[in-house]
Amino acid sequence: MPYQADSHPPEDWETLNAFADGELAPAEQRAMAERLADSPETAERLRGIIRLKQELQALPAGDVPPLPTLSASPRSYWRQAAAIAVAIVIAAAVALAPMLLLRDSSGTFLAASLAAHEQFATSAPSQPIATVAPAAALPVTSELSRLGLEPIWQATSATGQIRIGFVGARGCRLSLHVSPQAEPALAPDQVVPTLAGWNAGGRGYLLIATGMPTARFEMIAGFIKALTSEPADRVEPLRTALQSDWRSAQPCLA
Amino acid sequence: MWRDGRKAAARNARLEREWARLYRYACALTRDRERAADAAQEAALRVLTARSEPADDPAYRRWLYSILRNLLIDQGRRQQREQGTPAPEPADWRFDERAISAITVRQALEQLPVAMKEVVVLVDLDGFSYAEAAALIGVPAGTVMSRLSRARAMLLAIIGGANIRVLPVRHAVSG
Repeated sequence: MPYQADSHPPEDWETLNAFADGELAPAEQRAMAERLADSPETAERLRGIIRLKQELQALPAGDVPPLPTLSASPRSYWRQAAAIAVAIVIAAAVALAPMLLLRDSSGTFLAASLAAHEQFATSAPSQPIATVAPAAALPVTSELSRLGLEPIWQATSATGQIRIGFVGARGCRLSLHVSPQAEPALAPDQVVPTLAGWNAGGRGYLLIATGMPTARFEMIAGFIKALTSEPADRVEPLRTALQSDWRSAQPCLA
Repeated sequence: MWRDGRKAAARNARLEREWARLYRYACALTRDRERAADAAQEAALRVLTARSEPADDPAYRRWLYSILRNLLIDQGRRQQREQGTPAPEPADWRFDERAISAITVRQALEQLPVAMKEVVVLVDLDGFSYAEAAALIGVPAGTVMSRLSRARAMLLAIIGGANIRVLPVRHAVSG
């Protein structure tokens, strides 16, 4: 352990913690980075802090009591609204299903994914399209949850394309799209800062974000790509680096 | 009527997204799950019946947490006058794939004084910045920085002192 119960904290302990949290001013960050390069002990202490933060963030929520609901009139309004909404969704599904299926089969994976992301990103934050069943989530889901990105939407197309939508604490939206087959690489004119695509293990992947700074997106995209492509022993250092860099990156803008 | 019902549903769904974190914060402040559940539910009712709520999500979260915090402070004052502080409730442990690391850290977290545990929960678990946590607690940001660093030192000392080591988290790699 980097810090013992019966010892005084190191002189730079507070600053080191603030560095791990991304709370230092740029000049202080640079000074601390230099100190870390020169001092293996300080670097070891930083690793201890980051490790602790990772474990804290991974703590399970435990049993959560039900959210109270308002009784009387608001509830009856909600029931009416829910009934009407269900009717609208069924009617829309019947009407739009042929179009959606056509789009999915004749359109490209990219086009279908962008359309699905657009729908997910522009839907009201408080109205997720569906609740993700934990068992149905990909391994990526647990990794993103550790970064505070919660899955709130999942869809599977008739052709087996899986889409999962995540929302961050500040409202940014990220969606992962998985095709059951390898897909064509993105053309140069299709490359935008918060869109990443790759093939791995015979599957095609697309990651799309809205409201997320480019640097933050690139961190996630790089890690998810490694997670789906690299052996586990190569992923672990990347996970540690991601957790370390994540807090110091610019937060979501949404 | 329709607009009121839709607004109530939207409010409910928005609160639901924060609900687990809000309850965890209540647990951190009370060390008593039953009392935490009562307080979180009372706070939720206040939120759902408030005339208005902050539009942007960070402000909404701060508002939510401050309602709960103020409520617990009021209850604490009342309870101190009436019967003193309740005894902490023993936690129930679950053994899943990362049970060992979760248990060691959680055990250590339970041993922290409430003020320290609060900043750990706000910053590490709930993602508040130092400034946001400071505004919520009503202390300078420097106090949060200091309190958090001491809390982490104490956590590491507890884990180290108990001769417990945090084990690596293993995850499967998708194909």
